[in-house]
Amino acid sequence: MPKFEKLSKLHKYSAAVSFLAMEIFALVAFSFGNNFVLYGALSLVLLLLLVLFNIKEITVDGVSSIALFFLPLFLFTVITALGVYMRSHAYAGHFSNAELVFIPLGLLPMSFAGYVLSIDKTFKISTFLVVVYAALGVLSLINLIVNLVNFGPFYSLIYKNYYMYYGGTISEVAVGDMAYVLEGFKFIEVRMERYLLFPTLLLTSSIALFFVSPKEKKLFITYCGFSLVGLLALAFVPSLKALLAFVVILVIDAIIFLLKKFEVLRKPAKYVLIVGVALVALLALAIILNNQTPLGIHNLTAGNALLNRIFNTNRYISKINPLTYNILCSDNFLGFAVDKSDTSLILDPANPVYPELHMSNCFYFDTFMTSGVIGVLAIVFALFIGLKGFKKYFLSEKDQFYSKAVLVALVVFYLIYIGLFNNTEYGVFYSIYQPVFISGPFMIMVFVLSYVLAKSHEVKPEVKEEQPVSETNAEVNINE
Amino acid sequence: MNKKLRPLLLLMLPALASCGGFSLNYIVEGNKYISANFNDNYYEHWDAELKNAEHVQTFTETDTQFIESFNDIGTIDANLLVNNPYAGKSGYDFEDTFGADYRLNRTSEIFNYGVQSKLFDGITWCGGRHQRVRVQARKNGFSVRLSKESDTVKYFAMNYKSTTNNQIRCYSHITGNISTSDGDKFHASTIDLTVTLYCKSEVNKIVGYDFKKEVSFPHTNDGDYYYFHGFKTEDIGTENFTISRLVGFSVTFDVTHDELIEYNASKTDVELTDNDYALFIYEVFMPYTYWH
Repeated sequence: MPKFEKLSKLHKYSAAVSFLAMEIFALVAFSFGNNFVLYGALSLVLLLLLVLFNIKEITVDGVSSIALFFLPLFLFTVITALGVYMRSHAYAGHFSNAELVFIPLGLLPMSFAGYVLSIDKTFKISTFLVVVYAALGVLSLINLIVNLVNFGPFYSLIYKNYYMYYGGTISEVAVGDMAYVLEGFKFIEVRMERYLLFPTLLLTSSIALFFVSPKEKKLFITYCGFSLVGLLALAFVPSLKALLAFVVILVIDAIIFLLKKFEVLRKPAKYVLIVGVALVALLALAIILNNQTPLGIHNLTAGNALLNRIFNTNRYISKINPLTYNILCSDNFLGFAVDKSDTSLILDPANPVYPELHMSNCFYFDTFMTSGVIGVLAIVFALFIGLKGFKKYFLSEKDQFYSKAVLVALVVFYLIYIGLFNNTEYGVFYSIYQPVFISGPFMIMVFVLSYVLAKSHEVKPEVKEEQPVSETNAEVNINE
Repeated sequence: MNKKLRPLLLLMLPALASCGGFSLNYIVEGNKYISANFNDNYYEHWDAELKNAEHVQTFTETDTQFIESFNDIGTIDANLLVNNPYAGKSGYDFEDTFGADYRLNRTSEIFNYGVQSKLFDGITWCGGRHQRVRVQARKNGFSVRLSKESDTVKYFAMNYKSTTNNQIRCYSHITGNISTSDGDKFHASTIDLTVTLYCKSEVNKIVGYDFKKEVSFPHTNDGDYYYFHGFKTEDIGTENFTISRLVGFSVTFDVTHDELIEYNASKTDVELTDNDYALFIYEVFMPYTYWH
């Protein structure tokens, strides 16, 4: 493309743009300012610069490698931004309508940047990981120190049944279930899930210790440091959720390690994975159908003690059930309608079962509220495609194995975390509303999935046109 | 720095950081102070520094500047407030206007923390919220230590009522009429209230200034009878006296008279134990005070 010839000369400066990208990833991973408008603006600027400095390297075939991930992500972000649910929260003052535009403007450039940086030779995924984990480490350490200063070590166990007075009222959650975190530019009391997010993500770096030789001193010590900070942040603020998250990380580490070490396990693991995914999908479907009253399935589950506990009465499912009750109503296909004057979601005052709704602890079911059935299908499909890309990525020769292992541990753990421990309204005394898709870690995950897909894409070899043999040459050949 | 010491520093950080525990001052066990049981709700916290402070001056307030109910708010002396746009307001109006405007937690975040934050949230009366919005004081009282210092404190006001756990009342608060059935009883009491303001002296020593006042409650135990007790510090003190560098205050009282009066019958004195009598303090105001 001759018209891009001048721009292609900028390619020699792409290292500077890679460096800028690292800084932006650090800010986003650090949740700097906790402002998704800021992240969106930064990722948009980054994308423009990346495209500008790498224009010659971008190909249609390369872009198509992330199409199956990018397009459903596009659909999800647009439905969410324009959907009635988020606009109602804008009405309630949580965001402005203009800010909602940064939902697609933040995530989509991040996704495309994953592709562009995968073809940029100056970008190293190993450096990206160090930058992201360093940001998470600094944030985790800051939060840990603030909690030690304010509450002391192991306070979450010692003061488990204590409550804090603020603004004349007693806290809804016990001291054992709250922590201080850096939110924006000040420290505030939040629910424990918010505090735990960063050290547990940090602890996913521990998988690298299985694959980095201690002889690579600098790298080994770096990842030791990350893991140690994550561990300290969990150990000094112990909780059941921290323990569960730690066990999940250990299981992920063990699976990756065993699959790498014992090739014979890979085939059975594939079938186990397929069965596992199918079971999770069936369970999700069963939960949804259980709450569709006309089907009468609820009477069946309520009549059996075990099924009743699983589907109706445990603490986790009792937050999810209200969200699935009306998801198949045509009004809610693109997100739930809310009472604009009170976004505690009075969906249907005449609804005898669930007149009020709140976010559950599961991102996937919460998405029914923010983006409707269409949005859920779009994001689940996008995540499925993204995760599927890891298989090819692992088998490819690109990037060092420990980087691949860390990436998969990071993404898989994060997806589990937002399914089990997510808390959108995590402020204890302050009203905070932050859905997962406008958070720093989610943007990092979107970038990683795009990068993995693009990196594992097999570049089609260039088809060179056969040069016609000249008559003079042909004569020479004949004469020879 | 020696490279070997760097990992030690990382481990030392948590140890050093554990020396604080500042937020532990604001936590309470379970449902303390908001229990349905009257005797569980007494707030008796005393800061060690304030408890041991020397009381250097005592002032006795003789003006009876209190109101019997919110409906009489117009009787507050206009000198207590620079502006008095709140005359003639009802209880909720008082809370929504005066309470909202002069609540201390508007001036600084420190007033939002701890049990004492009930006194600074602008909620000036019960309104059906009961123990959730008030501090219940026994005669030995309580203190509030502030982590900031004030400049000059010109006004001090408290909104409270007296009560016992003996829920006897005689006045019909709906009709405003005294119940006239023979045998009906009502509770009358008098206390010597002491509000102590603790300030830092020139040598940074904490000293206390006592402001005493005799308060009569002809209707102890009646839910509608609130007492807005306010004074201008310079009016009470000697000339050129000012309260500045305030770091805390305390409230104590002595019950000098307490009787259960039977209507249309001979007066009957009732012996009440210390556990029975309390002040429900809803709000403390210090308008036009700056904190740093």
